[in-house]
Amino acid sequence: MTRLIRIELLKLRTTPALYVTLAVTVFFTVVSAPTTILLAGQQGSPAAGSLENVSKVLGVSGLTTMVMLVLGILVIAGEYRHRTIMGAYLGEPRRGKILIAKLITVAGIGAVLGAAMFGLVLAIALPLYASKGVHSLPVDVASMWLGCTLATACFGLLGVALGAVTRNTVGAVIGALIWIQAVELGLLQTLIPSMAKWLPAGAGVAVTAIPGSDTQLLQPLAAGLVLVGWAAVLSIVATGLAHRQELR
Amino acid sequence: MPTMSFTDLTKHYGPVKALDGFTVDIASGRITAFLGANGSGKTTSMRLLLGLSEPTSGSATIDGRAYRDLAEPTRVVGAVLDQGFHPNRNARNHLRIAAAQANVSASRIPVVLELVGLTEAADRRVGGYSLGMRQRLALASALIGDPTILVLDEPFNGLDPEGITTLRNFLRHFADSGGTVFLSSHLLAEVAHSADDAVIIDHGRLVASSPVATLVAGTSTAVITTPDVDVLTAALQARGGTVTRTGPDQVTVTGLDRDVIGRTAAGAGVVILDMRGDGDDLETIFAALINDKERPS
Repeated sequence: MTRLIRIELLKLRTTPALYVTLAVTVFFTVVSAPTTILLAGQQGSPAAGSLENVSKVLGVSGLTTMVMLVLGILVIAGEYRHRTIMGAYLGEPRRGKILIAKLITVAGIGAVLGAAMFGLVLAIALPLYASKGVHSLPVDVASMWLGCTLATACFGLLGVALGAVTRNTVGAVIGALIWIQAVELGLLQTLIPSMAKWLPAGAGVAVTAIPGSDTQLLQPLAAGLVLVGWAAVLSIVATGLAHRQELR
Repeated sequence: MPTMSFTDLTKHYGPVKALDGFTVDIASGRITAFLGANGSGKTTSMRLLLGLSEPTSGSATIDGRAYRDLAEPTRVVGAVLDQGFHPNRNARNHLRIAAAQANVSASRIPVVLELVGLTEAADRRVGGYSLGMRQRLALASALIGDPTILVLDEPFNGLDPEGITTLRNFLRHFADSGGTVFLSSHLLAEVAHSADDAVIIDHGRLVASSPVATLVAGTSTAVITTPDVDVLTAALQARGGTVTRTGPDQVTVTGLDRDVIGRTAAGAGVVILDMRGDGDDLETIFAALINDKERPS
């Protein structure tokens, strides 16, 4: 398995997807956090250091989860798109092992990305808050950091599973973004919040949210378990399908 | 023991029978050409052999084992099917991945790059490669594990004449060194130059399997001009040939190699004024075999 994971990392290192992913995430993180802090209190926006302001600044998981979802899809559906999956299966005919290696790799990258981006936001935000006279944040930073790490890793897993099931890069990316942004967050969370909180996006939001800030969401610990559950179930389905699907 | 065996191999895609009880053994240390029209079942057979598809029934094995049961399969079998390349990855990195998949040292990479003539282009993006260069990279990927068996689906496609000659020479050297080559091709003239054995498939069923020389001898026709028609006819019939008189001093002979005809005539003291071959190219043989099979008995 270690060798297969090394191969997956080598694949990622030798194509632009990982670097583009990192660049996009860092760029938006670096731009968004200072902007939110510097514009705080202006034109009706929440004051710097307020719960709403800090929640928005530290809410980097909204970006990292979507980025990892897309990267997860690319990692497997991209192999079908370019037909490199055939070489992978010739090298390791037990297909489930390849998918498991991809899941572990993407989950690891997701965890590192989530933790690093949250750390980057903190590194940018803390001096800026200090310059505005805010020396302590009204949130449990450690819990949010952990939540961001977990959510980003889990959305990577969801991406791999979705890519393995659909085998279609464009369809999976567009479908996933529409489902999460429009169906789950746009419709279901407004119309049927009691159901939406149990779905992946609802759990993803809850796991990184400030506890008690939204009564419609699960508690972070429960949300974390729900998110891990979704990632596990879809990964098992994808692994099962990988064994049976014809490679044509 | 044969290197590769297809045993009563059947594959259905819904109502379509891609393979229908296909059975043949591929001998080791030889180049075996796998011939058939488009959709005859060549690629399906190869994919089943390599574990990329599951048979409806029957089996395809390598030294008695299914591909998936080989410990390090790409060190036993190198395959060129229609596997692709990431267009933004360069050839060297593609081969680094292939080497890791085969669990061999990266020191094999310059060796196979040199072998297929891609050393100069190794650091260029594969997206900018010509079809021929991609074919050569596919062959390099197949060779990275230093396998003893090569399974090649249309390996001559996209190669220029120089590339074809290089590949042909390489395959001959590979087989002469004890390796086994199983290649499909629609370039029958090219296969005639390269292959020792031929397996012909049609509508998912085996049509013929024998050395190319035997196929040619068995189906070729020689048109002979001689002043001793009767003596030559008797001598050739005694050797098992089918002789038809087609002129006052001309006969047409089928079922005998021209070398045998010449020696038989010499043994019988017959003077041959002219001998022309007809239909001894694989294309004619292939068409004849397929037509024979399809003709109602």
